[in-house]
Amino acid sequence: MIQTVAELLFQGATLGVLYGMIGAGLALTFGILKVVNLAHGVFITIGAFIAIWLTSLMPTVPLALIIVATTVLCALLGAALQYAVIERAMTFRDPSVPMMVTFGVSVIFTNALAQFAGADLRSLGVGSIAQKSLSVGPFNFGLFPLLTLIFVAVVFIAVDATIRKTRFGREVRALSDRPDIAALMGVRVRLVHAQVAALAAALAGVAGVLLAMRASVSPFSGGENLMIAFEVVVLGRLGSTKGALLAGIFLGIVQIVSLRFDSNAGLLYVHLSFILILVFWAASGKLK
Amino acid sequence: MTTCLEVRNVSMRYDQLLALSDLSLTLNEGQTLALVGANGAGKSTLMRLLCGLLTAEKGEIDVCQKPLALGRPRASASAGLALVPEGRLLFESLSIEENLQIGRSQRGGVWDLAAIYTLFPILKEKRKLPPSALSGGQQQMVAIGRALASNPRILLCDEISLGLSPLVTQEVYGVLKHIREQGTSLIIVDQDVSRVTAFADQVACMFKGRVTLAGSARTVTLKQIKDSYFGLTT
Repeated sequence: MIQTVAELLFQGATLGVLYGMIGAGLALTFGILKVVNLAHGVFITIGAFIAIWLTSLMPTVPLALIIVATTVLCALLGAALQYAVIERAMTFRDPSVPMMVTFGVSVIFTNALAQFAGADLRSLGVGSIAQKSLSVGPFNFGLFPLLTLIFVAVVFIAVDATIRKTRFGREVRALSDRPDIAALMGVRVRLVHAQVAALAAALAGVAGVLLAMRASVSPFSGGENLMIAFEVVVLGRLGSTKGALLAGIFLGIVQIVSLRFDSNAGLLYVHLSFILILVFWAASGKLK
Repeated sequence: MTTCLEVRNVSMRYDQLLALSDLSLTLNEGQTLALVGANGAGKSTLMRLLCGLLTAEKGEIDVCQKPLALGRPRASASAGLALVPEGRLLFESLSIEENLQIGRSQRGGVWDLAAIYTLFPILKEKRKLPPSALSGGQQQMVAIGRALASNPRILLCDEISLGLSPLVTQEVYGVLKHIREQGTSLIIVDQDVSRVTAFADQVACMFKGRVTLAGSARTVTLKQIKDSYFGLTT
């Protein structure tokens, strides 16, 4: 019994950190730029397809390099999109303008991806490591999920340290608090916005690679990714990357445990638990 | 004496409302200008215009004989203008020390972190705390320190004593005296007219977006200020 529970929790946590990663970029753009980026889901899909494309182009290149290249390409795309499009949309007082613009961007990117890569489901092979496992006493853990867990933990620690300890992070937090006063202090608002968008897109790219290693993706997976990201960001108390990680782990555990009892459930209980928590927060006055 | 700030015929609107009307004033280097006037006279608008948060409909501003690009906060910061805003507006996500560090500029000068801590020793003790852990007076010290960290030529202090007790206000003016002695020019907006005019070298009184009285703080009388304050003179 304990063995089963431990393995379920482990599987839930490994799926959950992926969900946390899916939501982390959206948490950044919402928390700092105050933009609900509806193109975030498609950025995850783009990350997955870039990694798949690079692997097919250079099959001998190590996966670590593929991840780095995907992250850099996604970051550049995110920064360019922010600088050329979203920044202009942000000058409108109405917050729905950037939301509509990013929705338009997601439609364009999804269809462009389908046009160039085809509509088939794809995935990223990780080789023999997928079958390896690690035994600790009576417990048996998959090696690949364990490495994913460690990798995501390192990424989150690095992002958290960047936001808390560096000059860039200081400027980001100041900009999030009071953009006008931050500008008075000499903070380059547009540059920092582009850097934050790059970071968010890079995280989306990493999430895309992890997703493609775990499951199949199609150019139309963006909507499902966005829904997960949205739930993670809301449960993580809007704008907190740490909150997004914890919310992701919670939803991952809910999904794995619910699949144990109902193998056809898919994401049903994940969405249900999200709604129930929102209702509970609303009833107890915690929903702001 | 060298002029460090010259505002010439500046007008500015909020939609239909004329907030500044053909406004002109000058400030000499190392001197303090008391900017007084009733609520809505345009004092804070002028401060926000000077530091680049607003742009003018017409007119020009020179800082140390160089034209200032209006509506660009970074240009104002580079020109040496720094604002202590009304209500302090500190960064709550940053510690006190981070609030002071973010104002640091590349210009260099006497106001490094150590000098600011010498001026406000209490801030050094509480440097790791968030601004919300401080009293109103201590928060005002952080706001002044944050602006000083950019080593400004001209320090703009908007409603400097707002919400502070008389004792803390006295302490704040003591700090401003020390800053002035270091050669920094000051523009101070304060509702405590007697105190600010007694402190300043020059006085400008605003009414409905215009300067209706300007002169030396030594020669302008309180009666003249009062008349100007309520729009009894033009």
